[in-house]
Amino acid sequence: MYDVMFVCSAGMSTSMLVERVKKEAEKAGVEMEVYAMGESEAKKNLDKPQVILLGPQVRYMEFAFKKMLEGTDTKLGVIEMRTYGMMDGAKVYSQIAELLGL
Amino acid sequence: MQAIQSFMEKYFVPVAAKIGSMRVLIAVRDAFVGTLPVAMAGSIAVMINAIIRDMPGQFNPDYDVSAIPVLAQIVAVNGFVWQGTLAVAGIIFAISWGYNLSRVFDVDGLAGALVSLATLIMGVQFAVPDGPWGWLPLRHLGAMTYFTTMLLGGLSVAIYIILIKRKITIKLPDSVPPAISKAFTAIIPAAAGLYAAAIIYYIFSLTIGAEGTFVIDWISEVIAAPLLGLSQGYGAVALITFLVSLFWFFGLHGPNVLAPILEGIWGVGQLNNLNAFQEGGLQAVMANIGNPNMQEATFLWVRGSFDAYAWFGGSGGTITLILAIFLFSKRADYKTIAKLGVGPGIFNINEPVMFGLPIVLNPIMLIPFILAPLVATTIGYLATIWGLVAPVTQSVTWVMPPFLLSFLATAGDWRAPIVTLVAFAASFVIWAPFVIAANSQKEAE
Repeated sequence: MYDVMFVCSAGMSTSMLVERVKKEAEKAGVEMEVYAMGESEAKKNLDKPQVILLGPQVRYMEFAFKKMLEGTDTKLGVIEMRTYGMMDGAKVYSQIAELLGL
Repeated sequence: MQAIQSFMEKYFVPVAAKIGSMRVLIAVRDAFVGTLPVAMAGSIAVMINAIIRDMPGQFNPDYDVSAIPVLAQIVAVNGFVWQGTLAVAGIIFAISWGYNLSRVFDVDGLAGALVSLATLIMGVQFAVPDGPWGWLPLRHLGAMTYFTTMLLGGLSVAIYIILIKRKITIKLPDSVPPAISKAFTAIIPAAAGLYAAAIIYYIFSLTIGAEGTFVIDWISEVIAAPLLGLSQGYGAVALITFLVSLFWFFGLHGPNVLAPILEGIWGVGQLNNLNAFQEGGLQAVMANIGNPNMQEATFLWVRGSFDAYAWFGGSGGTITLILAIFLFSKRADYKTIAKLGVGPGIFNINEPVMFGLPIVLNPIMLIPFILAPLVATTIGYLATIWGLVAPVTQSVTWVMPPFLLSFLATAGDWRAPIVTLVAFAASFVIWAPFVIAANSQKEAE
């Protein structure tokens, strides 16, 4: 069971993307828990996920997250702006798969 | 283009992001959001009353709801809901403010909420000279207390937070259950915060308040009145519209980042309108425009006015952009985004267009994204100020589709959707040329 966390600021449309990525994972037959969290909540829950993806709204936090994740195995990525806007679940899923080395 | 984008991303986005992530500002925003469940119940009660009690009177002057069975009872039930929610909005906000301020600084929220509430109640008029004793008057529990709560409640909660962080607390052995030890931990910090507030109230009562002025009244006169007065001017309305677009341009949710101002000033004005409407319908609202007594004053341009006349489909009036794309765009990528964005767009959610097109950090789209809502706001503002349409007197959730939103927000003024339509058309005319111009641009890979 993989654990993937999306980080965003408000979380209005990120939940839409979460659903799409879940579907992709299902299609690929990979058990994966996907969820979205606001940035301050996320910082308190860094020990759970194997992959953390930042939404384009919070991509400026990449450096801060990188520092917090130093010395852990957690992979960090940023969702490209247009991929996010297009709610492209397949593209985001392949980004996750790549980070996990699937 | 790429160079401009990376330049902005490097220098401006972090600054905008810093502002957007300041903890106190987040606490203010979350405090307003936190009141929503209760505030919405009150808004619904007022709106149902508007529909069954006040609206039919527009068409039939002899209409009297109290003579109609069932409807009369519904109005009575709504009165109870209102009394427990919007009538005491100040209490609800004080709780939410103390809770959220404590939470952003990672300390126990319940104790913080109670400290903030207690601080507000300290300032409420409790006795009338030579009159009744032991009453809490509604005029000291309404939305105008928000400013007192943010200042004095903010101070007492800040003291509470600092002392907890400094560990100036009572320590109990580990064998004590956490719920009990948590409460004990908060005793010294909470008492210190409350005493600080009480001393300020006392000193005030000896000096500025020696004639019998209350802190709550004084703060609404000195701080709330000028701010709300300013909020009715075109300059302030245009400026905030501009700033919302600007923050969004940097990828930050404009209305969210600016919630402390939007909700703290125009939102407070709206609550006063709602309460006046509950008491006496549109007539009461119109009669109290410009009333110097801030507890009773009502306002022409309030928080919901922006949603009604400018931000259809989300900030920037992007539903008109989507329409322009459907009509004029020859670009496959634009059309895909528009198809994806139209569903959420009807409910005023526009992240797909904002990030997909994108509008964020796109210097070309910046022009219409700032201009369209400015023009739309101006149209709505003038129509309201000139009395062509009733002011917004109802709270409608922002996900309400356009046109319906302005109709309900004005308690069913049929002219409101027409004003929205004019603003909508103007916004569309501003977006369209940029959509057409984008046709000749190379499609982004």
